[in-house]
Formats: sequence, structure tokens, C-alpha cells
Amino acid sequence: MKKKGEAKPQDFLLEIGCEELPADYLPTALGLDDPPTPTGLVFSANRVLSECGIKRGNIRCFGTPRRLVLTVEAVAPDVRREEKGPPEQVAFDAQGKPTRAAEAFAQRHGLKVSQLILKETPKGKGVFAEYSVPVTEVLSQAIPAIIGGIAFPKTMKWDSSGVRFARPIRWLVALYGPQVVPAKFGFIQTGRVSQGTRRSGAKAISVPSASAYLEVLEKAGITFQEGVTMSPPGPGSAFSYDQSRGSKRKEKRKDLLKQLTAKAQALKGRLQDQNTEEFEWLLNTVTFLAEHPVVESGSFLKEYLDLPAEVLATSMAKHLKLFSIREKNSEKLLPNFLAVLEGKPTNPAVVMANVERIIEARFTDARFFYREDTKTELEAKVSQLNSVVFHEKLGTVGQRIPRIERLIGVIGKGINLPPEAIHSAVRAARLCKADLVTQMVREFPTLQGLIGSRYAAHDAEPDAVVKAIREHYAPRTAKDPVPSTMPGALVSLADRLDALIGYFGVGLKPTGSYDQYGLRRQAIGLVRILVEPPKGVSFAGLSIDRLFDEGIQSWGSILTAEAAGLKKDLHSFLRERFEWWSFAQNGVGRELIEAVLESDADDLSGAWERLNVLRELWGDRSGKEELIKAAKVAERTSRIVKSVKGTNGFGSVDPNAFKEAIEKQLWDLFEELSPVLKEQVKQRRYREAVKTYSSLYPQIHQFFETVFVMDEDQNVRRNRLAMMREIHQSLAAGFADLSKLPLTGVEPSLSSHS
Amino acid sequence: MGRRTPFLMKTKKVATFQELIMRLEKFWAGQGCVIAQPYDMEMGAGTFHPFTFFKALGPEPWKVAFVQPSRRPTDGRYAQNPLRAQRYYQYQVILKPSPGDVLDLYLNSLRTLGIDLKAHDLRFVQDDWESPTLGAWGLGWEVWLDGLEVTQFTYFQQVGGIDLEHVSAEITYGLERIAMFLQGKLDLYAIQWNEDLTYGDLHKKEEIEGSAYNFEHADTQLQRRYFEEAFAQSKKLLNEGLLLPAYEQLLKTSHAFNLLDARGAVSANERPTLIAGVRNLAKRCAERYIGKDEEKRRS
Repeated sequence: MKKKGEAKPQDFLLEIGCEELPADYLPTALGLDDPPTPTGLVFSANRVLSECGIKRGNIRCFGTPRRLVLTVEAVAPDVRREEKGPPEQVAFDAQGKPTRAAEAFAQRHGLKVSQLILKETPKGKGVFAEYSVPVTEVLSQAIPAIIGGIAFPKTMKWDSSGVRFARPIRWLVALYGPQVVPAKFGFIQTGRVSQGTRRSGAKAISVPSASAYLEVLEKAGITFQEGVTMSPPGPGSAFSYDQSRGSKRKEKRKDLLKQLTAKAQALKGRLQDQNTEEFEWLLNTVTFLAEHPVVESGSFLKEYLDLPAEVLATSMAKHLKLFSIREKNSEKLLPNFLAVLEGKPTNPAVVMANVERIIEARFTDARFFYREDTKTELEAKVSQLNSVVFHEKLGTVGQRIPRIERLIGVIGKGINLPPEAIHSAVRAARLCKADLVTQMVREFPTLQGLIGSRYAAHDAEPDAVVKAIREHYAPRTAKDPVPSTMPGALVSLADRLDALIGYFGVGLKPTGSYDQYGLRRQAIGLVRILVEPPKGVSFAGLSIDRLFDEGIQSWGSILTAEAAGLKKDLHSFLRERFEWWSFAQNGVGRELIEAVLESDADDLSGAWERLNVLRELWGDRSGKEELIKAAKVAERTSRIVKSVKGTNGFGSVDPNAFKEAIEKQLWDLFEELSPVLKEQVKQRRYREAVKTYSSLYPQIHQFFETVFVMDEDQNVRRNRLAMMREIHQSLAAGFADLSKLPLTGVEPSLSSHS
Repeated sequence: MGRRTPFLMKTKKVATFQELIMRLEKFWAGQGCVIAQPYDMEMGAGTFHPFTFFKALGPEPWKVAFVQPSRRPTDGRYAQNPLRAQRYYQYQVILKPSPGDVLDLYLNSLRTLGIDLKAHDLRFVQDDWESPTLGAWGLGWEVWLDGLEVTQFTYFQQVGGIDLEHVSAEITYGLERIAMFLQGKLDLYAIQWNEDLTYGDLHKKEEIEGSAYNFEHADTQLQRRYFEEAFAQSKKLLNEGLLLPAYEQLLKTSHAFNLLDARGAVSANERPTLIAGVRNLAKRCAERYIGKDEEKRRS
């Protein structure tokens, strides 16, 4: 073996120098998604380095628009390798002396025969050579694999080498300690020379060593956003955001947000709501659109403030990556904005004055659209929806409108609303998609709904209709609030139901992680509206099954799926979303969710209410004792009933068929409690119902201690099973099947109620 | 908009619109480009010029630069928008293979126009370019100068449905926008074409009339007939092996489609079908150009 053990581990650096990478690609490449997508730089490096057997510390990564940077801390100078030589009987002769073959094999690795090792293999013993390879040699091979292992949404070729990347790679820096690691990716050779910013004329920067890289580049005015860190392999190995050794993380994005917030305050305003996808996108974009970001403010003419604030804000954000500024205590815009520039221009005021002209040209365009769009009323645009394709298999958006209106009627009836109460919802349903044919929505697709509501207000539609149009796409994301008004909630529900039925009905349901039409999000939205209804509305008692029936009927012959199977699919899809949402919201145990859904999964609003009671009882000390007793009653009665297979039910209980006194007592007690229980369940006083039910526990306990249910006499047996079923169902049918709760090893005390 | 002062530029000598073109011609001629002339048919962009579409195919090196008047009927604004028009000028450069320093070349070309890059905010903003009618796509950027898109830069990956092994860089300058910047004008019609005449003197009336024609007067039945006849003609010519004439008929279908679109006469239902039809012609033209269709026939 070569002895090189004395050399110390050193850092490894790889800088991939590119033409400007798409800002949208960088968060993923740096593992900054939540949870990180395993396609980025650190993941590729981890994979390759592990395969090569390189011993290392943390892997960190950094990004700017023109570079992806990898640093690996404390990389061992040698990599242990092992090679299999000849089998034992070939390597040694009958006397146990090494053969020519063994000598040649040892020589090839610079070893003596005595340094070879004998090891057991599946094919018998064999001779092995163990040796070290300098890590730089291994890294030379690893570098192209690491670069090639990063996945991007789209990649390209730029020369005839055929290699692909998100944008052309123009230089590579690869250093192990102070030493260049020679490697090639396509036609690009590694070296130690990096580039400064374009503003600096992209001047050459020589990097003395791997550990000096960040400092040298920062001195040249380049700021980095750090990505995810991967700790060394081994137990507890993981990616995280705070494992970097000693030095502070490079948080360009946070630093920028701080600067932006301060500038907005200086203008006596504030940034828009930061908890939105739009804001996150904008902040990411500006972070990854400048190597040396500089925040500057500008203003536009006040006269443009008569356009909808969202149009102005979206135009600034989408078209020019500018931050709009709101008044401190309202949603109104100030006629100011913030821009993040690449480096400090000689005179920033010149640049900002130019930016101002461009946004005003954009606003002029928006005003042109507004004027064109409002030449006719929304009502007049409804008929144009007949030429807007919803999906090639599902007809047009125009055809959806009457179906949505009809579903709204069914929902209204289902929750006992008087017909006049749904007028606004029906009107909103008629108009809610009309903005799809406006120029404004064509220009700003994300503003659909909002634009429609603006135009509805312009047409002097009632306020309730305006609001409903505005909120009928809500919630768009899991963070987004649900509709705040009854008409808005009704239109949103009906819209989602109609879409789900349609897509499922022609076989376009999501598979695996592929959900092209966002149906999971649609369904979660539907569930959320049911469980978080607007003020003064309750969807409890609303049968989804009935809505499916009506919806399927309205779709008619367009659907290809058979109705019963389709309904089953839709039910289980919604049920899964309900389970997911319940779990995601309160971390409610799966068993509790299953318990309430087992009793009724058709009325999801009611299920939510029951789940909340169950969750409270489960988390509450005194409540839990009663709950456990009740659950034991449910468990024992259900277990015995389920153990009997192949019967056609047990008929009803015959009080004269009881054999033992204890079973008669149990039945009498149940008969006494039953009407109370029924009333409590009916009035949704579930806590009390559980308490009532739990008082059966001592009797049930005693019953199972003394009575053998499976009596030889068939009628006695049947009668006992009938009683068990009745008792089980009395709570399971209306509240929750408590036998689903995790009760292993739990025994309640018998004292309190006996 | 009384408050507004014009675009502010730091330039050595302010170039007129025609001077701007001459400087670009000189710069790219110096880089070994053929200085070609505009194609004499209506087209949406310089990409449609046969010197782009066909020359991007195959392995032969190719460097060309030319002005291409471009028509986008839906962009008509009756000369009311300071930046958008239904007819404007592109300056198109194709470099195949794309040189390693192509972005530096481009930046140098901006400097020759008199733009002081130190005084302005220059950005390369992701732009995944695609022409569904030409079966072409590429990756690159919109180039922003102080937020104004002045150039589209694309590395072609596919043209006429054919994957390119020899990647061209396409640089498309928005001449009007650069001129506005250079001359400090707020409105494209105020650009000095030469010392005496403005862009508006030459084109404003035409723009207003053009917008009215595109949006209000273009006879949709007639355009539909043009579309269909040119389409049939192109197919026929392809079968007869007349490549460029077939491609020219394709250009006619493309323009008729754009006019129908501006008139709102293309329904969402038929849009993909019509586009796919034109794309299919483009693919057949491209295949014929590189002789792939011959191979197909022989095999």
C-alpha cells in the first residue's frame, strides 16, 4: 500500500460558469424547494462522490445567475480502492507458494505478494489488492458526472460536443485545496480562473484555493445565495439548511428582502403580502437575476392608479420584475415601485427614469385593454364562451355554465336555502367565466376571476355577484383563503364538482405524481370549502353523492365512464383529499379520521365537525377516559359481530329470547339509553353522546366476562349478535366507529360508572 | 404626460434610425457575416426568412445579418402605443456554429451603437422561444436595457421539427426600441429616421390604417380562402419538389392565419388544427431541404 495517510483533508471547489441561467431554475438547482427536489447540484454531487468512495465533510452549494458553485469540506486526500485478482487456487500452488499470476497481479498495483489479501467471495476465496488513489484523480472523473447529473426543466446544446445544460457553460473552476483538478465537460477544461460580473467587463479572477473562493468572489462584488447542505454519509446523514461549518450562510434572498422592506417603509408604504406564491416567485426571480443586486426606487404617474391595483401590480411584477408598494394600512397602491438592478449604474436615476417610461407604456396597454373590454358588458361575452375549449374531450367553457348553475341549485336545496338566497350565486355562475374572452385576461391569465369581478362592478352587477366572481377560483393554493361569501362558496363548489366529474368521467384522473389538470388541488379546495364554510352557512348534511348524481346526469353522453364506478372513484378521491387535509391541518391520527369516515363519508362537512369533537376528546384527559370506555364498547361489540361470516344479518333483538340475567340487564340499560343517545346524535351533541354511550361499558365488560355469545342454541346466539350489532351501530352510525381507534393495551377503570 | 422627460442615454453620437442600421451592418460585416436583404413577403419575424429557416439546418457554417420588416397584425394599436406596432423592423443575425464568445460579440455591437453599458442596467432574462408554426424552438433570453426588451437572443435547438446538431445563435434586435433609447424618444413615431424625417413621417399613417385593416376591415372569408388555397398550393408544390415556392406559399398561409386571428375569426377549437397544418408543411420543407425526405423514400 502506498502511504499517504499523513496528508490532511482539504476542501474541494467546483464553479460552473455559465451564460445567464433562468432565474426560475436556480431554487431547485440549489435544493431550496420545500421539500428539496433531489435533482439539484448537492444531490448530484452526493450521489457521484458516494459512488466514488470519496470521504468528505459537508457538501454546500451556492448560486448566482452566472454560476453554480459546489464546495465539499474536508475531502480525504486518498480514496481506498480494492481490486479482485485471481482465485486462491490460481494465485497459490499446491505448496501454498504464490504463482506467477499472483506476482503479476501484485506488481500491477505496486504491491508485494505478501501485501495481497485473501477474501471470501461468492465464488470461493480470491486474492485482492487494496490500494489508494489520489482523490484528485477520482475527482477528475467525478466532475463531468456531477455536472451532467444536475437535472433542469429544459436543457440545450450549444456546441457540437453534444453536452447539455440549462444554458451554455463557458468556464469551469475546480480546485482541491490550492491545486487545480484537471477535468473536462464537453469542450470546457477546468482551471482556476473565474469571471467577475458583466458590469466589471467580466474580468478574469484567479482563485488561489478552494477555501478562498467565496471571499475572493465576494470581494469582486458577487453575492451568493446558499442552497441546501448535505452532511457526510453515515448515520444521521441528511440535508439541511444550517450545517455549514463555522461560516455564516450566504442569504442573499433574505438580505434583499430586508433592503426592499426598508425602502418600502422609507416611501411610507409596505410591500405586498409576502405569504403568496406571487411574492415568493418575484423575490426568487430578482435574487437570481442579478449577481450584484442593488435596490432602487422609482415612481409612475398617479393617473394610472385608476386601473385595478392588481393589474398594475401584476404588470409590474410579471413584465418588469418590479415590486409594487401598498399604502401602510390599505390594499391601495402607492405610485412607487422598487427595482432590483444588476450592479450600481453610473447614475441610477437615469436607469430608473427609463424603467418608469417602460412601465407607463405597459400601463397604457392595460388601459387600452380595459377600454376595449368594457365596450361590451360581461353578459354579452357569455355567448363567446361557446368557442372557448375547456378540454378537447369535454367541450367548451360555455357548455359548463348551465351545469354549474344547476349544481348550485342542488347544493342550495341540500342545505335548505330558500331559492331566492341563491340568485346571486346563479348570476355569478353565469358571468364568472366571461372574463376568459377579455384582452386583459389574455394578457394577465393569473388575474382571471379578478378581472371578471372588476368588469361586473363596471356593469353595475350587485355587490354579492361581484364578490362571488372574484372569489370563485378560491382557494387556488393550500395557503389561499376559501371564499368568504355564500355565493362565492357555492360557485366555487359547483365549478370544482363539475370539473372533477368531467375529467374523471372521460378517464383523465391523476396518476401517481402526474396531475396535469390540477385535480388534487381542485378537490382539496372543494373539501376545504365544505369544512370551512363562509359565515352563517353550514354544509353539514349536504350529500356529495347526490351532487355527483346530478352532475353526472348534467354531463350526459359526454362522459364515457360508467356512472356507478365513476361515483366510486370520485368518492374515494374526495375521501383521500379529506384525509390528507385533516392530517395536514392538525396532525390528526389516521385512526380518528377513519373512525368518522367509516360512519359517514358522504357528508364531509359533518364528518369534519365529528372529527373535531373526536380529536378534542382524544386530546382531553377527562374526555379521553370516557372516550376510551365508549371505544371499548364499540370495539367489543364490533369485533364479535365481524367475527361471524356469511350470515344475512341477525334480525332484530327479541327481549324474550335472552337466556342469562346479565344480557337482559344490558339490553334494558341500552333500551333506556338509546332514545337519549339518538337525540344527542341527531342534535350533533356528540360529546354528550359519547358520555352516554360510555356508560354502557361496565355492563358490556361484565357481559363478555360471563356470557359466551356463540351459544349452541342458534336463536340465543342470533339474538345476542343482534343486540351487539344494535349497540355498535347506535353510535357508529351517527358519530364515529370508535372501534377504529388505537386501543391496544388500553383498559379503562371500571369504577367511575358502576 | 407632461412630467416626463425623454429616455436618458449617454451616447457618443446620437444615431438616426438609418445610421443605426448602417452601424449594425458594418459591425456584423466585420464579423464575416453576409449582409443580406429583407425577404420580399409578409412575415412575422426574421426567423421566417429562408436565410434563417433553411440555413439553420444541416452542418454548413453560416453567418448572415439583415433587416426584416415584420408583421404582427394583433400588435396593432392604431399608433397609440409608444412601443407596439403591427409592422416594425427587426435586425436579424444568424451565427452557425454559435461562437463561444457570442454574448461578448453582441455586447460589443451594442457599444458600437453608442450605448454605454456602464451607465445602464443590462439583463439576460430567460426566454424559451418557440414557433409552433415553424416547428422550431430554442433557449435564450430577452435582453433588457433598463427594463426595455431590446433584443431576443436564441440558441436554436430545433427547426422544422428537426433536432439541430449544429446550433445557431439567433440575435434579433428590436431596432425601434434601440433607436428610442439612443435618441431619447418616448414614442417610436418620434424616432429620427434621418436628420429631417421621423419614423412617424414614414409610418404613422400606415400604422393607423394597418390597425384598422387588421382589426376591422380584413375580409375574413377572403383570408380564409387565401389560407386554404395557399395551403393546398404549398402541398402541391412540395410534391413537385419545388422547395422555395412551396415555402413561400407557407409564408402566405401563416400571414393569413395571423390576420384571421386579429379579426377574432379563429375559434379556440380550430386554432391547434390550423397551426399543426402549417407546422406540418414547415417540417416537410425542412426535411426536403436536408434531403431527409429522400432517405425516407428510399428506405
